[in-house]
Amino acid sequence: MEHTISMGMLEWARAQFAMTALFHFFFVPFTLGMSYLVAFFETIYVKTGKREWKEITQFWQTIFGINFALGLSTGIIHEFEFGTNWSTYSWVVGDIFGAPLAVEGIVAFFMEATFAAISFFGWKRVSKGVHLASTWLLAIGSNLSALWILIANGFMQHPSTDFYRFSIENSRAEMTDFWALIMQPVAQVKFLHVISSGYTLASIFVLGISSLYLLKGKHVEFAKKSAVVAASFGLVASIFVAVIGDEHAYEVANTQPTKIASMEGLYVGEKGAPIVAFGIPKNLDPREVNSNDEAFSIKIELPYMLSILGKRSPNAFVPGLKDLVEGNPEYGIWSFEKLREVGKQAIEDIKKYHEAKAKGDTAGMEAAKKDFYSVVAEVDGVKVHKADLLGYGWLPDDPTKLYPPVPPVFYAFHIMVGLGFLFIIIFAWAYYSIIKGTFVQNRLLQKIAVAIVPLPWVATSFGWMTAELGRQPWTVFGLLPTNQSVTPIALQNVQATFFLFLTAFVILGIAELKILFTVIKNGPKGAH
Amino acid sequence: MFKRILFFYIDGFKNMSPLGQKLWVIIIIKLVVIFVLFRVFLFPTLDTKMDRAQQKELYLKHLTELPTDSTSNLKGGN
Repeated sequence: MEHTISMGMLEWARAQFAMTALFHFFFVPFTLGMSYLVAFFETIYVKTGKREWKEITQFWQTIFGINFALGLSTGIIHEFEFGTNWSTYSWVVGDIFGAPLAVEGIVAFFMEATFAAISFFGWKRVSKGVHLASTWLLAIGSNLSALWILIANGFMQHPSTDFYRFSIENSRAEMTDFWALIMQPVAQVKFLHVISSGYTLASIFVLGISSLYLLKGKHVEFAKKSAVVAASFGLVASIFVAVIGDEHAYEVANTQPTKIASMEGLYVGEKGAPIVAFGIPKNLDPREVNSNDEAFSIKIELPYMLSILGKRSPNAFVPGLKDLVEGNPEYGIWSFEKLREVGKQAIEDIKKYHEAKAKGDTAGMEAAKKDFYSVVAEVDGVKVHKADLLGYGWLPDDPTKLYPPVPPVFYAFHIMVGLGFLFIIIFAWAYYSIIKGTFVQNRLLQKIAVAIVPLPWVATSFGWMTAELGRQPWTVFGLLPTNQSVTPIALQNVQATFFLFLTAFVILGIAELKILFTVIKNGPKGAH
Repeated sequence: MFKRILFFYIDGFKNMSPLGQKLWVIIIIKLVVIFVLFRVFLFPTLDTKMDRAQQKELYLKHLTELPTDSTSNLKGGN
């Protein structure tokens, strides 16, 4: 039976991927951060030789172990989905996307499995030094796994022709420089932003649970010592998240203009563009908007800040969605129609090449190839080839589909940033109280620390929403649209597996929380 | 060397805490669900027997048929 992929199939496939990604990411940042906190606790134990630090290490290692065990393999489901729901995506960019995923699999399997075994089983079987080294290598291994995933994701955010070429012969993108793929700035800042947010998340958790014990008057010495490490690590990590987040936003502004405009609800481009610190944006057709004041019901602005953030100059021009849809010749921005036209020509070139090949027409093949790789523009000394704009030819004939939905991206980004600053304040307060020796008596701070424990998960999830929803309508920005990435399978298959995964995740989530709460309730003496 | 590594694991599993045992049961159930049940449910729905040339032909067709509606130009059989 022949059928066309419906919007229902696309939306269900996206919903399934979003659900599995958010569930997987429930575990990931905690593992990234907690692995280092356990390494810090154990280092203090080995340096001081004091038994209480061993108990502290073992308790938090147990918490880490629960998360590690239950999070294990949840990412594998994504690999299934690349094959089942996103096979066109896998065909077109698998050569580039698959390589870092394969390295991640090898690093994760060998490094994490080896050192996790020694770290969990080896307390009485290896020397203190070997055990400590294993705990550190487990932490480094977990974080290196994240590096490879974020290299793959960095490619999706900014597929630079520094490391890939779209092959007209094979109708797919092929890697040309693995080292350039690894070193891409977008992936590097994303990696640092994600791991430091994981450190912040784990530190909030340790500070919160320590505060809970203090409020209940239980395990006081344990809680004090844990809180000192968590507040110190958390303060440094949360400040770093903000600093590297600024660099991340700069990279986004220069590689994904539709995303940064949606993050800030910027419909009309302007010099000295402001950041909207607080606002209620509207979902409008940018072609009908003449002023950014029309785009918000309420807003509080910080003048010039978006130009500084995105272009590092207070008076720099930041394009809005209207400029990106209609084009802005003054700033060399092509309209959606023009980009789509060139993209469609590139698709025609591929078609002509293969038709000529089928007929054995070498001259026709060469002519199509020459057209496909011809230079269509030069931006800041960099040549833009027709092949680079191929993806625009696959976009639907609707200019409002060139950018993501503004309100959800705006809210996701602003909630993430707001929570990030809240965490800095809480850590600074906790650190100051610890230095002053008032932390144990400061019940208000302890209550707040307990109350905010779930918030870093909210922040990291909204961070991912900003990155992934903000990249729409693309799976690989400018190269492959989401509507063109899905597999031609029946809608019922995706719906059935959606509910299958959802059921499995709910059961696994309940198991995780139940075990976690039991261990926290029993406290350090009951652990290990 | 291999014997020592093997005994390291055997000893670790033998002396595992009740919590560790519970976690391993969950890990095993999870792996069975992911690699056995999901595989049984998911993979028969897909034609995985195509060779590379057939795949190339299928995707080339998909990628060069220009969109006719606002969703996707993908066409395929099942």
